[in-house]
Amino acid sequence: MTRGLMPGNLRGPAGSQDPATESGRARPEAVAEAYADLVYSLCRRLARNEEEARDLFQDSFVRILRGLPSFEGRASLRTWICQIVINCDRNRRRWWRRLRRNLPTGESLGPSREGGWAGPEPPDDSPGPERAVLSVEIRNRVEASLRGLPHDQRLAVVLRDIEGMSYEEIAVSTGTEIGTVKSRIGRARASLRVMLADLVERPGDGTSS
Amino acid sequence: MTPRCAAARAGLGELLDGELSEDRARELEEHLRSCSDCRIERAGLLRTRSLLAAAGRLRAPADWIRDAVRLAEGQVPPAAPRHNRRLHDRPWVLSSIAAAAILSFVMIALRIFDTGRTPPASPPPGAPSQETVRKSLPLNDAKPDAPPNEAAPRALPHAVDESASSKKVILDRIAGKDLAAPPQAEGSTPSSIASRNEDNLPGPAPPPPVERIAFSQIHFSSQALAKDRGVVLRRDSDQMAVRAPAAQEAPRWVRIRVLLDSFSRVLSARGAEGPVDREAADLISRLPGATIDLSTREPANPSASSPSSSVREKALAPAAPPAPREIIIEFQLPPGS
Repeated sequence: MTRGLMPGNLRGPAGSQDPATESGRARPEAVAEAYADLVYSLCRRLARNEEEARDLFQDSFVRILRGLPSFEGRASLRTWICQIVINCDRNRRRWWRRLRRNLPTGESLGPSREGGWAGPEPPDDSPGPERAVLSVEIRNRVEASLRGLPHDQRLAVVLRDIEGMSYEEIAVSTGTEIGTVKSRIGRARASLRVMLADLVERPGDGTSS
Repeated sequence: MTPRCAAARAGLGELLDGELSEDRARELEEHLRSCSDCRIERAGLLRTRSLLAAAGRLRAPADWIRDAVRLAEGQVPPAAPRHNRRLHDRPWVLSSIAAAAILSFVMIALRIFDTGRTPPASPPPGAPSQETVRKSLPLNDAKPDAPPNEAAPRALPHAVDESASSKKVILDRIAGKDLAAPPQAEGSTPSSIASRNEDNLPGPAPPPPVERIAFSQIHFSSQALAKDRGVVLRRDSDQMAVRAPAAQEAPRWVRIRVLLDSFSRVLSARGAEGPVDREAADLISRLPGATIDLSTREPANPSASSPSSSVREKALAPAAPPAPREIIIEFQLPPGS
């Protein structure tokens, strides 16, 4: 799969055109192939369990593929796709909240709190030099720490530090102010640093800064 | 920690992200050169960022993508069970769906029944009674000089007394048995309609006809369904047709039993001869939702016109009826798979 497609006029950093939009229009097959990993990563890190992640992935993907003809290119394709995933996730969480509120006292439906992934992490065979050196154990620690963050902070830090989006793109995708984005990222990193203190203070285990 | 350190640490994240203005960044860098505590803070932050970056993007499972693409194209419901909140909230939707399903079944049955009944006409003078016709008209002897698979199925609906066996005719037609029944060889013992009607015991179902289908006759819903197969795709208006790559090794054929709807779409598929290997199972999993083009048959000699896809022989089955039916497809796997 194509990785690291860059935003901004749908062109990569070296001026290469996004393969998903070679002819000036987004092609569904190419978009599905190029952005499936991005959508999947976001869904996995935003949802509370695998079933919910799958639902979120399907909702988002269907909207993306069906909405492609109306994509006008005002924002980058990546930002537009992230916006759709985030909106689907927001609707889903809103629906769960409403459902829980309407349930009789004591009855629970679905995961009761965020960060409720059950079972081991699914295998991930994606290539990449960093992945090759980051052990499974450490990766699981990082993912667990991410799930321990409040939803908004987790979203902001994932978009920034994992997806490499700029503050402005994050603000557009999440529908918030840049100042809010900055503070969420700052708080998220501070919390993660505490949660991963042993890894952060332990140099030379494979991840160089 | 001095106030300058506090201000510097508040801006460290933005500095590392390259989101600070030039002046502010220069100012911070200057402070960092002189403050070891803030340098340690920056190192910790850098390390946190690199841990996150190294966690990286996850790879989407192929079946998630495939299901989502199918769903987007509105062809096949997703394989995984989904929590249907709307049905959960509105039980009347379920009863409406059930009523609609029953109504459609009745309408289909009536339509099939209509096509199978004889138009009411008074018998010509001197013609034998209906009972006589039924007893003297064997299943395969309606036209002794005609090919057996033309005579047998067409003679059945016109000869059957609807009051006696309409239910059986309907059920047989829905199951496609009238077409699925293999034509009897000439000279075999003719069985009369009357004796057929009396046979109420459920016997073993006759095997469905076998068709040999080339890749070019299977229309998948999208590229995603076939991309892992090493299969070459070509765009044909809105549909993706699939054909095998140029053959260098002998192609492999696998028999798959498929249930087709009236539009030749695959409703379900399974191995025709028991368990199948991984490649065939993979192919079977992709078939539901695909359309099999039975109208445009490939030539009998594939190498002459289509070097990359081939049908070894023409299909044996009669023309597709407008009802769900089950056939066996001999499906060509790509060479080297």
